[in-house]
Amino acid sequence: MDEIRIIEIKKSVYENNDREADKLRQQLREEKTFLLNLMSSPGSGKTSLVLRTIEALGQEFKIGVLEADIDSAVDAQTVARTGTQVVQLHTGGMCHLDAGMTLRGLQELGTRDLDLVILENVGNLVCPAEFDTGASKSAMILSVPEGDDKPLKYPLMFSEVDALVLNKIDVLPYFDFDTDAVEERARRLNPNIPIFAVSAKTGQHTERWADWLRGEIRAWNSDAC
Amino acid sequence: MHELGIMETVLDTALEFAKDNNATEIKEIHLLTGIIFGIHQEYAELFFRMVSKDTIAQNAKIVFESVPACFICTECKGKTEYPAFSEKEFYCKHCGSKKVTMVSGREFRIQNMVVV
Ligand SMILES: Nc1nc2c(ncn2[C@@H]2O[C@H](COP(=O)(O)OP(=O)(O)O)[C@@H](O)[C@H]2O)c(=O)[nH]1
Ligand SMILES: [Mg+2]
Ligand SMILES: [Zn+2]
Repeated sequence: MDEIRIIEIKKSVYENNDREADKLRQQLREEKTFLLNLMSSPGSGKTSLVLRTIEALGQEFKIGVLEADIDSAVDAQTVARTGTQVVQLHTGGMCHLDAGMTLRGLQELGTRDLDLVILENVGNLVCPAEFDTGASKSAMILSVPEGDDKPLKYPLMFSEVDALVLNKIDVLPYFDFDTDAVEERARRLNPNIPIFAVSAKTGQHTERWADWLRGEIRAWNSDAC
Repeated sequence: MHELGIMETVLDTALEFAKDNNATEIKEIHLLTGIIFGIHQEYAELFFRMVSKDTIAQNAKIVFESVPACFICTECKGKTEYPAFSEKEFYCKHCGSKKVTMVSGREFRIQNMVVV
C-alpha cells in the first residue's frame, strides 16, 4: 500500500473548452454560418470595424452581431441602427468569452438564416486569446495609438489569430508607430498572417479587409458538405 | 491569465485521475507551461490552495515546468530557444536574423502527478 506512484495525465488545461468549441464550429459549418471572433484592446475600433464590415458586406450576406464588450450596450444600439440583428451578451464582468457563452449568445441570436456572425469579444489582449470560442476564424485589431510594441508584450494573441487589422492609420503622422516593425514582429509569431492597415474612421483600405473576409466566408460555405 | 479557473480544472482533472487509480493522497502535480503563456505562478499556487482545501490534493505541491519557445530561422534554418519570456524581440542567435518563426511555446498541459 502507501506506495509512491507517478500517474501520467498529459492533458491540455483547455481540453473541455476546446472540445465544446470544435462541436460548435462543426454545427456552424453545417448551418453555413461563418462566425468571426473579433478581439482587441478597448477602444481599438472593434465596433467601428463591425460597422464598416456591415456596410461592405451587408448586401451579400445576412449578418448578425454578438456584442460582448464591457459596457457595450451603446455599441449594440449603434449596430442595431444599421438594421442588423444584435444580441448583447451579459458577461458579468468576465474578461473573455468561452465556447459555452458564445453558444448561448448564438442561440439567442438564432443563426439558421445568418451567413455571418461577428462576435465583438471583450476588450482585452490577454484572456480572449486563451479561449477558443468556436469561431470559424478570429481576427484582432491593433490601433496605432496603442504602440508598435504590442506583439512583444502579448505574443499569444498575435500567434493565435487568423488576421491582423492595423486600425487608425489616419493618425499615423502623429504617432511614433512603425508599421513594418509590427508586421515583422507579428509574422515571427504567425508567419502567414494576413495584415490589413486600415482606417475604420475614414474607410481607407477597409475594402481589403472586407475582401479577405468575403473570401473566407465563401471558402467556409463551399467546404461544407 | 485565468489562474483561478485553470487551477480548478487542474484540481478536477487530478482528482479524477486519482480516483481512477485508487490514490489516497496527491503529493505533487506537474504542469507544463509554454513561456508564451505567461502564467502567474504565485497566484496559481494560491488559488490551488483555495480550491483544493479538504480534498486529497490539499497538500499537493504544484510544480511548474516551463517549456521554452522555439524559433526557426528562415535564413540559416538555425534553431533558437527562449527559456523565459522577456517582452524583447525574438531573433536568431546563430546569424542575428529577425526572420524567425515560432514552432513551439504555446502549450499548457497537466503532465503527471505523484500520488500514494
Ligand atoms: N482616428 C480614428 N479613430 C477611430 C478609428 N476607428 C475607431 N476610432 C475611434 O476610436 C474610438 C473607439 O472605437 P470603437 O469602435 O468604439 O472601439 P472598440 O472599443 O474596440 O469597439 C471611437 O472614438 C472611434 O471613433 C480610426 O480608424 N481612426
Ligand atoms: Mg466596442
Ligand atoms: Zn539564422
